[in-house]
Amino acid sequence: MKLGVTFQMTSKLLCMNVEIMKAFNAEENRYTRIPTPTLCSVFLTPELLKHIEMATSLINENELTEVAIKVENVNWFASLDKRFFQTIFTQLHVKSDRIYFSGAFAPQTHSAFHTTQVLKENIAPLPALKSKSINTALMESPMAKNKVKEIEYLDNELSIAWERSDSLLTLKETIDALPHGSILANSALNDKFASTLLVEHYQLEKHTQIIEQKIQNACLNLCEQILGISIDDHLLTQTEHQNIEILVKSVNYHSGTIYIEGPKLLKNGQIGKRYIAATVRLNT
Amino acid sequence: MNVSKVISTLRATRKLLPISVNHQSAEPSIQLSNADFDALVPFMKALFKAFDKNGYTLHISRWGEVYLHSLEIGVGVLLKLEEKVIMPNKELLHNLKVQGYQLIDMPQREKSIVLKYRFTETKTKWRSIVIEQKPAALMTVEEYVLGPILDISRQFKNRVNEVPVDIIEGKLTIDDISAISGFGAICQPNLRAIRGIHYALCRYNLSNYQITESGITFEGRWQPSEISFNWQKNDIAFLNKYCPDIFHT
Repeated sequence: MKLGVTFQMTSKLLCMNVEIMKAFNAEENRYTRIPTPTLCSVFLTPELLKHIEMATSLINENELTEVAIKVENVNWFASLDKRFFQTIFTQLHVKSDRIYFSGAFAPQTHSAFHTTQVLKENIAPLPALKSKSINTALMESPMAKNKVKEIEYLDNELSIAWERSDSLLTLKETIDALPHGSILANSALNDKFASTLLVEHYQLEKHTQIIEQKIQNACLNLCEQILGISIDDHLLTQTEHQNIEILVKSVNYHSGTIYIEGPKLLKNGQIGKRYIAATVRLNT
Repeated sequence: MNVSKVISTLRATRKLLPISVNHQSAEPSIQLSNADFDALVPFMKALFKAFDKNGYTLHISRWGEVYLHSLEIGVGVLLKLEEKVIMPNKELLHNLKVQGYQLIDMPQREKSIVLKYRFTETKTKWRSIVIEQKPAALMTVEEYVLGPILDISRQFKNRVNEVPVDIIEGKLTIDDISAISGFGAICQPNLRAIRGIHYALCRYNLSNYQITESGITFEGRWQPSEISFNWQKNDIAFLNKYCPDIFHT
């Protein structure tokens, strides 16, 4: 069994192709030679991402189409090893779903060239999940065994409570089925039994609910502390034919095995409808 | 050689930095911001002094290219001070053309400054030495910077017999004029003659020019055989700002 938990961020360099603005390519301007870079690169720093976030919130609030912000630390290249060191007035343009940069050589401020547009999703993708395998041998440790014992004790108590409440129900049905006694006979005392039986049944039901909750908590505790699985983790299980990825939603216990359940993750990254369970046997 | 004079002339060429973008061949030697330039002044002083001790003479062109040569050994060196650029492999270019963009994992490094040098009259590449801006490193300029340059220069003895005239005389070429006029035409809308020069240089094949105080005349290789422009007040102010020696040469 394998599992993904940890998150890791590295500094990323975004490289983009540069094109000349269409207005500068027009017929009138064909004689004005404008020096243009061919390459643009930017480190995706937290500041830049913050700029993008701020601009998108502005766009959503005020129904704008595009927001431009002046930024620094953007590198423009003439070729792979030749960087423009002259100051270039650079703007970050944010649209509702994509971004691009535009620039002009100082002292101009009308941008003369721009980069290709990049989707926002591609810039800040979900941080890569780092997988780590689950060590089931840890279940042999004394701490794990203690927890398993606690679960089994709770399960035992639960089954006792279930049996008692079931038998109480059948008893109540038989009492209800009793025909009415004559007026002279003293049958009121036994008729009262039916109501007291009901009261005990409801109390037992509450009790079982509490025990079930306790068992679930104990199972979660066991999974978190011994196996390292917690809710909303990605779990990779190996069946006979294929590997299935699950988004963990709940942990249950039933007759000696722990069921880790959740919806299946599809290949395109979406969450599917089918619930699939991975099992861990508690051998004691 | 007076080192502080050299630095002041270097500093004077820095006002042409924005114009050098439009130039076809000029590559200013010190491609750094003003703050970095100021920080590196002691290093440059030490370096130029060390070169001077070894019999090299120094020239600075109009665009700020630093050229050192010694006719006794017959070696000429071009120097450059740049920020170190780390770019990935050439596959990137192909990917950019297809996809338009690419994300690369890269460790963020502190910026470091590199001294690049190349021997003239040879087909050698640009070599580079990483420089630290600490004052302690200045003491060892002769060991770490000058030593390797002089070592390698032994392979290229007797290549340089004459001093290149372009660098020393600093005469304005047609390329220079087209760069200056291109900058003026784009950035200042009120320069009449300079905009005219820019369009003429872009359209026609012009070979020679003559500058007087009243105007400038170009000779064309084909039609038209002659074009002339008269200076306006704004043009003279612009030229006096960026190349004040234009009327004296």
